[in-house]
Amino acid sequence: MTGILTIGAVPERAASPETEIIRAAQSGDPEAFERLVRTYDQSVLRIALNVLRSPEDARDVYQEAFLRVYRNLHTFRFDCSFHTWLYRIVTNICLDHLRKRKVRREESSVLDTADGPVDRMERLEEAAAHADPERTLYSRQLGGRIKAALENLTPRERVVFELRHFQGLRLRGIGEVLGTSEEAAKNCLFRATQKMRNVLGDLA
Amino acid sequence: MPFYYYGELPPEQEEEVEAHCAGCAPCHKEVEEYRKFALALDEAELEPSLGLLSECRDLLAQRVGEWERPAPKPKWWRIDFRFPVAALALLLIGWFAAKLNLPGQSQPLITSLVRSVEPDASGRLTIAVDDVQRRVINGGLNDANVRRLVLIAARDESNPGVQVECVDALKRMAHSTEIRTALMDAVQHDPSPSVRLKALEGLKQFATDGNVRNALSTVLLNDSNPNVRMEVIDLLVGGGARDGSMVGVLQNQVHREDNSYVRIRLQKALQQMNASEGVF
Repeated sequence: MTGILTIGAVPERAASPETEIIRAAQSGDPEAFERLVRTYDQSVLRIALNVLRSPEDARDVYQEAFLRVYRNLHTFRFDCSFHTWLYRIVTNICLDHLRKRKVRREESSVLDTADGPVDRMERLEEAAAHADPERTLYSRQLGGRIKAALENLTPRERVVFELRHFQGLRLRGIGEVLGTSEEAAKNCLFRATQKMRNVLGDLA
Repeated sequence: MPFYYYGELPPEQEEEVEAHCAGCAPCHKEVEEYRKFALALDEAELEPSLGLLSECRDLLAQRVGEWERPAPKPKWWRIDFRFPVAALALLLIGWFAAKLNLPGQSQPLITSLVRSVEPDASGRLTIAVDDVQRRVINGGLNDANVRRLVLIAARDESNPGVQVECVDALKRMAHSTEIRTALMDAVQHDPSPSVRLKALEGLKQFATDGNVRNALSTVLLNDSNPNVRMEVIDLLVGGGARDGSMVGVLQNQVHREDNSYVRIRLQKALQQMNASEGVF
């Protein structure tokens, strides 16, 4: 093969390297599938970690997401970009985790004591008020405050905020990932930032 | 402001904001404050450690069987069910979903999972069901197929979040014997206190029904959660009328009750019914 093209000839449009990898993985090439995973897995883990703020939950999301990709890759028809398809899977799993967590929190908020049922959240606030004053490392404190502020968001607001602020996705892309309109994603981002600023306004 | 900061405004609007802020001190200050706020958030971004990444990759490789060839078509028996109960529920839901002639459903489902149920003000439900991809089904509980799907999901203990949503939807139709029976079943047997409490809400308006009272008595005597027991006491004595059969139940429980708050409530209930604490 000389690699010389005749001037004026139109070469057949070549598939992008990623498309080739996806097609190879779809046809059962394990190395192609591994390459695909390694292209995206850091982003997936970062999204899960920042949305859920728990390494254990992030690890679960990583496993579930790529196992779903593994089982369903043959259904990917290139109707959207692969990363949109993948992020859709990841965000759906994250949303499920957040919803389950909400239920768990409701279940465990009341403690039995000798004095009768006591709300765990009230005890937490009390404990926080008497926290060790030495434990004032800025980053830790900031991380805790941001985590608390994120808890105020609905699961969907939290995912939209994460994808826009930390992952840098455009609102149009976020709408595609979440299966909603750009306008809906925009409204969600607005509500999320308003809530975050209400809680963390003094950071500015 | 967030849209300007994130570059989500159309170019002409962005220019307008910039021109305005150049001559407006409060708005300029607002932009600066937002920028500082966003930068502070950036500092709290979590970066996965290499150890975590490596652990995830190893586990995934192990679970897909050393990157074995992906099957060209999904086979339900290859799904890694970690929990037999969840697996059974998944298959049951899938089987029932396959039987349903759901709107927009052109081919039978193999496996499906109800992920969420959201009622609107009119009582219609929006149900998200996962099979290969999530799909949304709209319909009211008066639709037998939708009702059956919600009833099945209400029993799927692998996802308490969906269970709560389902029971919340069902409680509005508690006048139906089928649904009331499901609520009584949930309140007596579901492992999640949130689900049991939600089911109690649904039974509230039928607290005088004999079958419901029998179920409530059983719950009072057996439920491990004091909040559930408190709710049950309220339902049993809510009408204010003296119910002879309930007096015995309350008297029994007041001596067994280990939670002081619930015990005080039981004593008060017995006083309201002009009954003593003793069992004769």
